[in-house]
Amino acid sequence: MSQWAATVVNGALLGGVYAIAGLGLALVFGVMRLVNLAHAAFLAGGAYLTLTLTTHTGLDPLLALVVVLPVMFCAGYAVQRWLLNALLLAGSQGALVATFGLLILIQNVLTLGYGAEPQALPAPYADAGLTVAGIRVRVIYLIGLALAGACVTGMHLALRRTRLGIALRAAAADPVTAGTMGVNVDHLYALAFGIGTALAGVSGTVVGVAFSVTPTSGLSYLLLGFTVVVLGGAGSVAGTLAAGLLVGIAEAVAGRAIGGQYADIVVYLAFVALLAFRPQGLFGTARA
Amino acid sequence: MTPRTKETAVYLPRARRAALATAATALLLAGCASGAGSGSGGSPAGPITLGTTLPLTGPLASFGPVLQAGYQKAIDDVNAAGGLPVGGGKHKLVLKVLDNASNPNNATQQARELIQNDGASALLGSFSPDLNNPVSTVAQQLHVPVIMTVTPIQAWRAGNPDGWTYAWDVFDYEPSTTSLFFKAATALAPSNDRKVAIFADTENDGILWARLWKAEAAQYGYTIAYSASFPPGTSDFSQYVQQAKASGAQVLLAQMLPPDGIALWKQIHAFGWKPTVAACNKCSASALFPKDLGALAEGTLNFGWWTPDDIFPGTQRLVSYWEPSTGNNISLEMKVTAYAITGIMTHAISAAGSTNSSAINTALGKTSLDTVIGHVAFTGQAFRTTDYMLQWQGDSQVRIYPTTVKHVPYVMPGLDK
Repeated sequence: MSQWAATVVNGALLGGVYAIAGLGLALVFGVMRLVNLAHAAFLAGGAYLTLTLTTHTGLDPLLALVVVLPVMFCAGYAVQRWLLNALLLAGSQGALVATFGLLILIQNVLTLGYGAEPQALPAPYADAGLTVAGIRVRVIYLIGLALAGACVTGMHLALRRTRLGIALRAAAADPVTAGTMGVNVDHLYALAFGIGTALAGVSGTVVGVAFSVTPTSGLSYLLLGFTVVVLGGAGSVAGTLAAGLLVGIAEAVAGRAIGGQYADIVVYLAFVALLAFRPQGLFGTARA
Repeated sequence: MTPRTKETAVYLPRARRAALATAATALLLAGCASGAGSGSGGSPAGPITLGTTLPLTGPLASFGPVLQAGYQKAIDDVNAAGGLPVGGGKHKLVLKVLDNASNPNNATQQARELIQNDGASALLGSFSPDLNNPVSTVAQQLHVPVIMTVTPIQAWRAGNPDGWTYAWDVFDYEPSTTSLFFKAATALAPSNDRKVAIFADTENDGILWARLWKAEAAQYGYTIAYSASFPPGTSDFSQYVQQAKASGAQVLLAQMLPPDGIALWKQIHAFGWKPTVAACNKCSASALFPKDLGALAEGTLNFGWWTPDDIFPGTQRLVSYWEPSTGNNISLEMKVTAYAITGIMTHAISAAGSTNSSAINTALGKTSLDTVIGHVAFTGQAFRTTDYMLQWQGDSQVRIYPTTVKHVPYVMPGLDK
């Protein structure tokens, strides 16, 4: 029984890592209805930026986020403001293709700059564990879950309690009307994309410390991120965290019960089955 | 009569068109057949192209550039000597390299492209059965020879139950290699540690190695206490590590991709499992393994087939050329072997006296050549290399077994500390 409890707890903690990967996607999709394929490249890019900082300054990867976050935010803001906004005027297809192009471009730039071999972000807690209530857990998973909780709470409060959040929600609900009311929709879209890109940087840093990173390793987290976003209810911030935990637990329990080689089949079968009954996801609201 | 005449008039041109079409098709097919391998062409007029599709990006990116360096050095050496003697003249060699991004589908497509578009007279191999079996299939279909390494022979042969005839392999034979892990552990590690945990992914060689380890354990006095199987690309091993730890296993035998192995080693340490023998085949076969893991990589076992202590003609020159930049044996080992198989292929082209692919293939079958990894002669399309047990000690992989050849003492794995 304690082994099963350990499986569930560690699965839930891993779910925190998945939730961070999904959070930026959820924000961008929730505000602009844009599937951001470049999120995978931003995740890897964030990890490599952290790696560069830790290598050259000796900074702890989490402390390096103080620099990584604004840099990633500015990059994301610029991409949305001066590239994707114009494409969105003609519908989301062009912007979707553009994010795919960015994905390929950034992956190739990272390969040229850093090589294609796996690189791990050095940190004293990368391979550390501790025992909580008799269950051994990874420290980096705890950090990942804490970061996911902080990001979700912060985003939830910002969206609900600030004027900026209210404007963002208005722009998401009806950009044309919001624009006529004096809301700068282009700026808000860019802000949302910038925040999403910064969150990808956080995710990449956690992944790089917990496992390792290659220019293409963001792709597996892109798939997981989308799963989490859709399961949580597209655009639902709290739902993203809950769905992340659920996916983490489901993977761990399925892997333990039937073997790792079949775990993904079970998880994604359950995912499809759930969506068949609840297309809006667990925490999304049905549209008329 | 009129209708008949008309009919005949129409019939005759149709017959002529059909005959012309048949002739054109035959010519086209003949053209395709000769174009399939420029090799059918006989004496080359200009440079001779060798092609290879390598994992320069993706999860196997640790290995593609290493093989490329070995291939390129061999070709540069031939060109520096004035070219390859073929049919009375000397011809420069060209290496055409494509990046398959560690994807077998890309490897298949690129192997065809190299032969049909780039005019490669022969192919040099990619990495591992997952990439080299598709390349072998293309070579077999288009009748153009390919030589490969770092592709265990049994997993490669399993890719074609009818038997390869245009593909050739220079590497280890799994049953002797997998048993080496038990022999080395018995000879070197604590004597009472006999419980094994296997971690193997679901790639071709992962499945095969796990099966062989399970089959061989009993005869060496080991029991399989736990076995985990997972898809390549797995990063979270929490539950598997905890189950392995709970099983009481002291010997870890793993076969997986480098990124997965790095993640596993971190998690073994985090969950406090302390195996006294830790082996990771494939995943620890890169200089990045100790760089990414630091002290945790210390003592990790991996099999090898050549070390700088194995002196053959030309070995010392290559070691001097690469060692300053290589810094560890495993990359050097792959580079030297890649150099050797390029030499085997160029020797066969020279012996064939032309770039005719069938003649090159026949010449490969007659290979009896002293190379930088020893004397090579094929049996059943393959040459079995000699197996050694290597261990990461500092930033180098050193030979620890067998103890009958030059070796250094075993050290306990960093995971045990």
